[in-house]
Amino acid sequence: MAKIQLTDVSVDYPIQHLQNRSFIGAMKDAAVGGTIKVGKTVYIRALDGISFELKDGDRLGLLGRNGAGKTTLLKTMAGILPPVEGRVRVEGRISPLISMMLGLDSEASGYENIRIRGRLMGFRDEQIEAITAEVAAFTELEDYLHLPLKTYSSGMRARLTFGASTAFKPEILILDEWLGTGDIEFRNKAAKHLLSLIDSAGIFVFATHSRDLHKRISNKGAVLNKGRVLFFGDIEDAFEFQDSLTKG
Amino acid sequence: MKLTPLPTPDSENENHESSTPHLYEYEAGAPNWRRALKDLRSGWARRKLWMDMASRTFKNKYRGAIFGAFWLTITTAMTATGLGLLYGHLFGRPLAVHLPYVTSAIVVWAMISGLANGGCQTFVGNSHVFKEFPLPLSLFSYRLIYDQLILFAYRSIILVLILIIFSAQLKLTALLAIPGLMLIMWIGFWASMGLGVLNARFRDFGQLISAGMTFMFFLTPIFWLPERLGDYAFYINFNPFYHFIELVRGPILNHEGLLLHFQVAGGIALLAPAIGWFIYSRFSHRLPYWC
Repeated sequence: MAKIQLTDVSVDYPIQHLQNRSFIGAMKDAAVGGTIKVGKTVYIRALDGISFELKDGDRLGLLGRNGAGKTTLLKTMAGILPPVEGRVRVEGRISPLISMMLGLDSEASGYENIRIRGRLMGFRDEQIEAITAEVAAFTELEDYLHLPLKTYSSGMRARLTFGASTAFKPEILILDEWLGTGDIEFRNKAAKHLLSLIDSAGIFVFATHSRDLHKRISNKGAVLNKGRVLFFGDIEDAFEFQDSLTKG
Repeated sequence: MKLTPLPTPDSENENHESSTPHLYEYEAGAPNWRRALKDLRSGWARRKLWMDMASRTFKNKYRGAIFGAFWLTITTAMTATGLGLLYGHLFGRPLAVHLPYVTSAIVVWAMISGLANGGCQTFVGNSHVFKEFPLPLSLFSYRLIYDQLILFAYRSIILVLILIIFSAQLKLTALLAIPGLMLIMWIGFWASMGLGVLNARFRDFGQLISAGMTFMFFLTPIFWLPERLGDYAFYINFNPFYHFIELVRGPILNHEGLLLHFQVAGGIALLAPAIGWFIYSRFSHRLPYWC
């Protein structure tokens, strides 16, 4: 049973070492980004009093302009960012596919990097060993897996990181932008694999600007603007709401 | 070939290394110490990860160099012989006495200053990792200790060589150097939590520590003898770094008054967790914002 509960969650990014503060306030509120708060320190309010609940079967699509708070919200749910106000409660194994290249060693071989990634994600050696052969086959990198990562092309690198990062089945999957990587054949294969991973996950939270993807995957939608959830409900209704927002 | 994802690991397993536990709960404003305690435990549970991180960074740093990591040994040897020769001559001390004296202190000092300077970078230097992936932040303090242990291993080679060359008479009490070293690492671990948080918030702090350590290098009897201070020799007892150095050098070179050094260091070893822990548990949740 996977469950995500957010209660009045707010996130403020302090801007330290800000040299010139005089422009703030003189400036008009931007259409993108969070609200800038000026006090003793200058803050950006990235999330503002967010509350919602997700349960098994929910596929939440996050909609919103640049700087609306989508990634911040994902990071808050993933446990990377402790909110400054409110409460976060997440039940279930969570896998944030936010930064897939993280921790990789360009001097180490493909095989070693599968292990590195597995360790970062918190798996035991025998678990990593159990999936290594499958990941290796999936990436189709063959002998290259014995060579250091620095000899790989960016597409080959993407194959490896994708294979290693998605080899484990989480209860909650968090995805910041679709992972479109590699050549056409691999892209299709990766998409298929990712869809099966999403299918098996209890909860899926996804931020992308692509409505096509949201239509295919998401069943719920949240419209974010300046760190606030302006709409939470059915994904189709979320599209409509977002459209009315831009028109109005 | 189809990739069948493996089910996520079972939290019931004792050896389970968990990055993202089954339950993540965070309430803003709630006391942080319980969370910090959990962080400390899961940091330890992920020792394979930080050991791996440390040894990889270490290997990559010296990759391609013919002498590889032995450059650490060579650098230490050069510093120690330089200081040993010069000050041995100035103080009229035979090389057989002064070189082991200087070398053993240099090796320990390198670790102390590595812990102090590295401690300041604990969180600032690793923010690209923990801002992208949920990890217990104490992991980076554990890693620092392991980093320094690897460096120490290479540097101490020269100490062993010098002890052999000058056929130093080691007594059984020389083994006390091991708990001495462990005390230093213990203090360094807790210090890194405090220093790391302070430097994340106030970046001048790291610069201050760095300048302070250079200053203390000259103020600590590393290449000179406390007796040379004459009437002021007593004041050297107020320099904690003197005691730290003697925790290792004292047992190896059969110095007198070991008890005092262990008492002072022991006291600091009790104090360090209290201060380091207080700062860490009070402010660690702000680290993603400060780094």
